[in-house]
Amino acid sequence: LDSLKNNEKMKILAGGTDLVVQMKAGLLGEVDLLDISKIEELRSIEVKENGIYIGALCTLTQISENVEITARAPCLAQAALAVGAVQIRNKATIGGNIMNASPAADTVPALVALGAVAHLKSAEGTRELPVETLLLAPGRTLLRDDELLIALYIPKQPLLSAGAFMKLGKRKAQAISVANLAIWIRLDDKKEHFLEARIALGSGAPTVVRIPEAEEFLQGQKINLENLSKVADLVSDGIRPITDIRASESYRRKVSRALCVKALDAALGELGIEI
Amino acid sequence: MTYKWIGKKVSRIDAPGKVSGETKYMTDISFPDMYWGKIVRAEVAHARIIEIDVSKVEAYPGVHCVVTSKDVPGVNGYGMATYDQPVFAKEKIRFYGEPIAGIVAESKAIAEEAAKQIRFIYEELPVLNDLLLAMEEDSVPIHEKGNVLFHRHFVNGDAKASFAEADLIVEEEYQTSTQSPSYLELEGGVGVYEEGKLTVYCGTQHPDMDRKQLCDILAMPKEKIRIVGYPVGGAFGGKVDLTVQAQIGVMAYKARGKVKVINSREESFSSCWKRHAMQIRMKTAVRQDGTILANQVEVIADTGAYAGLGEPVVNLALEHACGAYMVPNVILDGYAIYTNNSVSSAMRGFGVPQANFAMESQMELIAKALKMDPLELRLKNGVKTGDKAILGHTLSLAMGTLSTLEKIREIPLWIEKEQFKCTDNKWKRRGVGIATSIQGAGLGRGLKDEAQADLKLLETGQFNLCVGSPDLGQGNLTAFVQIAAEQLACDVGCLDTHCADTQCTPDSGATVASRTIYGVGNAIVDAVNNFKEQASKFIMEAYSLDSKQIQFIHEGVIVGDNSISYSELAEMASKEDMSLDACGFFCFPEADIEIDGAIGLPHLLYSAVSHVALVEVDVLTGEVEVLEVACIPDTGRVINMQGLEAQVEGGTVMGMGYATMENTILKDGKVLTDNFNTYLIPTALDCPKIDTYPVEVLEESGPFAAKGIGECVGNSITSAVINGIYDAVGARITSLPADMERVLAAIEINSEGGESCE
Repeated sequence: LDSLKNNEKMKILAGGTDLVVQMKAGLLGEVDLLDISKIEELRSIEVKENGIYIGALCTLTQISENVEITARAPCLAQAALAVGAVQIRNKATIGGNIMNASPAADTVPALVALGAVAHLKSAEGTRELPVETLLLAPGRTLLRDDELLIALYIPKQPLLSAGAFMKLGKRKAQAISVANLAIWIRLDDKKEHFLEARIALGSGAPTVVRIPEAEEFLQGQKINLENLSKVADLVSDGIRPITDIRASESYRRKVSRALCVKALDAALGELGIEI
Repeated sequence: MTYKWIGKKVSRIDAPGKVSGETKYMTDISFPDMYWGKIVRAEVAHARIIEIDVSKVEAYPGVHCVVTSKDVPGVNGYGMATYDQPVFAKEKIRFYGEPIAGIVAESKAIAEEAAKQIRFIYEELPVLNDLLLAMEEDSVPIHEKGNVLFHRHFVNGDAKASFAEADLIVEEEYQTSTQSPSYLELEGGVGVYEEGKLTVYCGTQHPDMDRKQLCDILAMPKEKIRIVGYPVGGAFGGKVDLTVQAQIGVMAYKARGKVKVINSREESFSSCWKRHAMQIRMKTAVRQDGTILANQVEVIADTGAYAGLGEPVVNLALEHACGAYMVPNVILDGYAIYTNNSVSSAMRGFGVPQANFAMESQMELIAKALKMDPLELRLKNGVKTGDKAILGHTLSLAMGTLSTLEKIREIPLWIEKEQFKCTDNKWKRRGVGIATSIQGAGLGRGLKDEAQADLKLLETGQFNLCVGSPDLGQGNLTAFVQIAAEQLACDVGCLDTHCADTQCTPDSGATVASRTIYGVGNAIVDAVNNFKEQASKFIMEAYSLDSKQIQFIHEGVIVGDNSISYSELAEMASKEDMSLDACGFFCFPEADIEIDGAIGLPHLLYSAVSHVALVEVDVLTGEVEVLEVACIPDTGRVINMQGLEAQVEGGTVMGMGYATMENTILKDGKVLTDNFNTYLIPTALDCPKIDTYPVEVLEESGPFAAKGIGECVGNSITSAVINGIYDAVGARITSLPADMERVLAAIEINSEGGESCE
């Protein structure tokens, strides 16, 4: 951690699947590299009383296959499995997927929807930040130059809650998301109303964003098709997508709506509710 | 007749080397004392060159020499049809990525660093990226003679009268995308200039044609130039024209040494030969019973900055403008237009996929309007042997269209299509689409499509089979060996091959136009027959025998009661100072009429393929997934079943990618989709289950009654997918690719919805 101090040119190398590509494309200029890929302590997944701790160097393959994650946070496993292809997932780390700060990163909406907290460590100590507040803009985060993301903590999920992740890519593998969305909901005891919701969307704004209007709307609402449709409209209105080589702004709005409907349907399905 | 090798799943002769990694492609070749070359490319799409100053590059440490247009010893131009493309740009830049200089340096890194020192001064010209604007008379000319490379008008029958008497007229406009061949092996290789001779090692589809062009560029006789062009890591038409051979040749010549060049993937996407984007307008006249009376077709093709094979591609699109159907009256207009949109030329199908997409879309609209079964409509109009084709020539060879269509009736995917179309997913609808295609094989009338093959008995008793047409990865070399082994009655293991090296292989013509199995195959049969004749004569003289007593078998020759092994025969011949080697020759038969001015039209030999596709569409997002495909190829006699299946699967996936995702996106002439993260081709996960149902409509003029299939397998799948989308959600896609955004928009326009399975 000392080597991170006072060296703005220092880049952290974990899986390298984004960093090396950017270096080759000449986007980073001259950089120094700190290779953290051999730090075994950052590779473990542990279930503790209050939630799951995921080391920042866990690969996406590891996350997608880990039984604790597939049982307790299946939407994160799905999101990890949606990244790139097998070869990339074998190298790419969850820490890297976050810190690359791409608006299209697949694991980030899932982490945000699950209320994940990032643990940042520097020589001075450790601080904790919700994943959603960590990301500022494409390629920019709140991480200080002297800090390293070491772990993610996913709080233990309450009863009658479920999450779902949906990705829209232009093909089934090796596809950067045109849009992706993760949702987390908690229902009342009778399974008739939504109590709480978190909706996080990628590729719809400069960073992965939550849609507070939609989340607030769902609180206390009855579970029915009409409300699903309303919340999907709020999601579609609540994002700021762009037109790029992969899709147009208007298409992104339309499919964000579609992904929201599908994700809500899937999450409700997890809880045994058919709409 | 039973065959020992023909029709069998003989393992690919190139498989062991490729599986173990021992095979050296031309881009793998290195020499200890070689330089690295870098092609410096323009980063502007249309400009007048004021100055190219390379003095700083020449002075850069580690740079051996720099070449520009001034260093081209002969003609600074190349092209399959016309030499309109400079080796290095001299006066103008016509596309983004055009070569302006070549740097020869001690390492790749030095060459790349030194490239930054070039001083390139130019005056920008308006970028012509719109096909119709480029066509206008007062648009800025990209070439001196204007932007219309050529226009062909062709009339057969009386289309006007047919339109007047028709019960139904279907008119629609179609647009196709710019598909990239996306071969894995990048363009590159090594040029070696030593003692006045030049050797270029570079993957190609036709070494002899490359040599011819290099002779003109370097002002050297053909005896002094050698092209080694095999093995090739994929081509799909994109290595018919020169890729980097000319630049490599000039660099090696000036360096007086060895120079290696490999394009980056980004350079490749910017400068490689692509499939022409076309705007196609079709107006089809039909009788109530489904008989097609007439078709009026206009094809406008974007050939990009240089001619390439733009004219013959558009010609072939016109020849195939009515698909696999008998249409007595046509009015055809074809244009190839210069633009600053990179470069387009040959690509698998050569204009036919575009025309087929349009015509097979028309068929679907006709079936819908007449409430006819789409298969019955196709069967009613399908071409057959003896018909007059749309260009007026007689289809005298085997035509397989009806056989492939009739086969559809036996295929589960079609018979049980309503069951296949059921899905539990509430957001998805399924549809089944069909389409059919023919593809003319060979170069066509007026182009003298000839092939040679050499066969030699070696002292070891092995045979050496030499062909100039390279195997591009599709496996034709294995098929050649099977043909030779069958005809010789020997084991396939008795044959060694030499392929695509101008120093030791004869000119077998290019590996293009679905021509090699038929053309080169026939030349091989001829070579074997000549060898047998020669060997028989030799044995007869030696043993004073009559030829009836000589029989060729796998180990050698049976002469009366004796048998002579091939190595003994070789030894005997060697004692007599005689070499047992034979040449074979074949020239394609030509159609009975010629089309005035249209070299290469019409064809006589056609392959036929039909496809059935099960497609699933997500109505919320427009995502299209191709779930299952049945492909019914007519390739005459199947030479190698495994090879045929591989061709079918590869062609199907390529044509499916063309239907659903492949698209070169350009902005002001710059290719934005310049790597596989943005230029999307299907991955293994996107591939459907593909079943192959060959129908063997024997073509007696072919080797063992076979004909080629390399292109046709990629044509009709595109329309089958598009027609499947139509069946699923009632949305017609008229512009390729049917990517999810376009499909969703079409669903919104046409919210008929799909049929449910209840």
